[in-house]
Amino acid sequence: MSPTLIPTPQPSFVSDTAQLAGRHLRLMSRRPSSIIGAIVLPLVFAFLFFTVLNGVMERAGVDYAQYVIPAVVLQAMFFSAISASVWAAEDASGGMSARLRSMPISRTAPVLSLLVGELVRALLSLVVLVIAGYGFGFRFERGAGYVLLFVALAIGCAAAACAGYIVLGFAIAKVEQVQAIGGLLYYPLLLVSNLFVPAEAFPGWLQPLVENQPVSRIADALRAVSTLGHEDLGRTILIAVLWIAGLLTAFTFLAPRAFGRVR
Amino acid sequence: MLVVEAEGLHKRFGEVEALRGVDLQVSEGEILGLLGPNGAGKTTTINVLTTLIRPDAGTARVDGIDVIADPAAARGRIGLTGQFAALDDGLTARENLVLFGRLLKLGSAGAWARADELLTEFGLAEVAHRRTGTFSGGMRRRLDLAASMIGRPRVLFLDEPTTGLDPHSRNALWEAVRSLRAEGTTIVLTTQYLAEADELADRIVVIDHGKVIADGTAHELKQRTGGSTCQVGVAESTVDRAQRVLAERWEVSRDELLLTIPAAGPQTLVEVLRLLDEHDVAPTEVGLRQPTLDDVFLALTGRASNPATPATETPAGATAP
Amino acid sequence: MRNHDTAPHPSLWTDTAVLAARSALLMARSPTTLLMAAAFPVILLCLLSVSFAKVVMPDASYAHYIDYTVPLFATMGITFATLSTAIAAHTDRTTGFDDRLRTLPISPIAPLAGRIIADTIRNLATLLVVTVVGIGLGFRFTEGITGVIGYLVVPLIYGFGLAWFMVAIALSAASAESAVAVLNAVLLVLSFLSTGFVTIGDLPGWAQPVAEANPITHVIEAMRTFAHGGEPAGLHVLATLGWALGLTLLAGYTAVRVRARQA
Repeated sequence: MSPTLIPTPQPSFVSDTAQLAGRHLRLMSRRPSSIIGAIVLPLVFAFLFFTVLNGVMERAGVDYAQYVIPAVVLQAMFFSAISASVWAAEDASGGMSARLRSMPISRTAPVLSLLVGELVRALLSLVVLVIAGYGFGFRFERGAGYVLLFVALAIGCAAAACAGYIVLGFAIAKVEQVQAIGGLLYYPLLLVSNLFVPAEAFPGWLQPLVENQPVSRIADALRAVSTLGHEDLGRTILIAVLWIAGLLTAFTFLAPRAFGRVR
Repeated sequence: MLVVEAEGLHKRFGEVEALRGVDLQVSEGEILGLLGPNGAGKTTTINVLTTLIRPDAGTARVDGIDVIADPAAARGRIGLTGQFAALDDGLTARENLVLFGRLLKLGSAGAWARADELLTEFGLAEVAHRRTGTFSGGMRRRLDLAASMIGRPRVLFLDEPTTGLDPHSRNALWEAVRSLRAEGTTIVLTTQYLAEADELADRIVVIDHGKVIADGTAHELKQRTGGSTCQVGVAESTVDRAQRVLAERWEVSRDELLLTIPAAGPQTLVEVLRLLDEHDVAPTEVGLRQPTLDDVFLALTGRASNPATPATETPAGATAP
Repeated sequence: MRNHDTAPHPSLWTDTAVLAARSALLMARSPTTLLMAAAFPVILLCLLSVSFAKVVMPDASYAHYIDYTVPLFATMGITFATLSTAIAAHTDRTTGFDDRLRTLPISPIAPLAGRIIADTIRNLATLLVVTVVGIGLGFRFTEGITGVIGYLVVPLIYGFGLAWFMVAIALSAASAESAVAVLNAVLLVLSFLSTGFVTIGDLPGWAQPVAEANPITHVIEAMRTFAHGGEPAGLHVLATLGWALGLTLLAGYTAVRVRARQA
């Protein structure tokens, strides 16, 4: 018998990614902690920041609903990223990564499917937060095109963050450690930023960092496309897009290397 | 026909030389047992043959395909059941199998049909709708084995398939492996348990420190260690007489009331019994003892194999060494 | 042969001490616990204080706001670290360690009491770490040694009651992961809807009664008075004691009952 007579299943980038993304979404939908992380926790943070800081921010002349909804949206994008890193570590530490790597499927699909699944989750968080935001007084003050731009920027940020966290998850491959390191990255990135308070509230020496770090830059863009009165709209959006594209490219380059040492 | 051919496999991880020139041939329809202690290089060999790692040197072909030059094609010919069950706890048994069926391009209907077929074959039809997280270790292992059979692979690689299983689940898994062989699947399995290799494998390759140190059937390996022995137990009142009588013809060693004589075959036992009977010695027990693979390992490496007893189940979340 | 005099017999004190030492050792060796109990509150203290200071108290210095928030972050540290108590208790239940203890001739209260004593030791460590870092950033004691003692004892009493609550949850919950996800959200709400970040007047009207009843508010206010003087702490101390006693009795009763039933 000649071995070439046996039909070999051909890898399919689209079908394999879709199958595995479906698996990821199904697993998340059955895990209460994933649902809480995608829906409840973002709402709790939106509610708490708005309740606790609205009074003092109003006194300072800031419309806090307009200010904080883009912030909690970005925070939720990071929740997706942290989730991606944990799933990646679970796949890598269990046998799943090894089995997928030994199967005749697209090499990219196992990594990309995590990203796709998490972006679906991120979109869900985004929609929930915007609806809740309307209750707090948040409004899209520009046209429908800018709403789409808002969504694109937020999901773009989620993609970059997820890609970075997926690299972390596969590279370390231990759930507890991934959670710890992921958390240690998340706090300074989100709290030393203009997400929840304006950069001017930080000490002078810290302000350049706060203003220029990527999370602040992306938040600037989200606020610029949702709220009227921002100068330099085009430039603000461009800086955010460049950050997202740059980070995404870097992490996309690293992800397959973290996933497997063989093509 | 050779389905697996590996020659001169070398692999180094930092300071550790995991493989130092492993050669391996597996014929079609054969079960090859890859036997060796922890860290001998068994899993690394499997990982090379299943395209998971690339060797530093050497060649490997599976079903005629060069796994190093064309790993993508090789993946269509193999099934892997690794040390850690590659299943999603949040999915049901059927959902797990359907997922892999879809990834192997069986199509929706095809994947369902194949899943049901395998669930029945592996005795899991009753629990097909249950989430894998609720399964016992033995059930998980069987489902894991079923998952690697979905694509009807030419060669199935099993990395320590029964580690941590209770005897009942172990027997069930052995049964499953045997029936796969009966259907014509070539199987390469690693094990630390000599009894398992003895039980399942047609041929055994012993690996130690990244090298093949012996290759043959269980019987051949046992022969190599020196043949069988004849053992006779006798009552305390007659033991001295028995030893004296037997020592006239054979080299006898004595351990309390047990006398051991090198045996050329069953004939020796008959002669021993006849001689004892002539001298009015009634044996309390008699036996012809084959050397075990433990003796083989000791003879080959100068040290005992371990672990002698099955290890406890690996804790969840632990990673492969 | 062993006679009855030398057969082991239960001793509440020895058994509790041995099991407390075991729990403490496990905590000290768990990176996640150390992270939750020490790094997390210190990170929040540094990052949240510096970002909120000028917003909440525009005319005061950063040190002044730190002086205001150190009790909050110490209390938050204790609050969230008890989540690892729940996880550890749940692990003991699922791994069979609890079953082993139940078959030993030891005091039936010792396993729970031991865990809670170890928790109190961990809480004291959290309290000291946060306070020492806080002192480095500007936190001051002005009320002498009695003030310092009061400042340390009140949150420990609160942590004691909360630990019983967490143990009761851990023994009843089916999934530790889901329970932790829910509790995490609840504890966030408790931490924010208090006078920790902002004064009571800066909270919206509806939230003020919630904050006033919140045990975390009582703990923080008592700590502030013990540290800096001001309004008498008596009422807050009483309220803390009431909460702790209530939680201990209710949760302790539940925990012992559930544990006995699982036999």
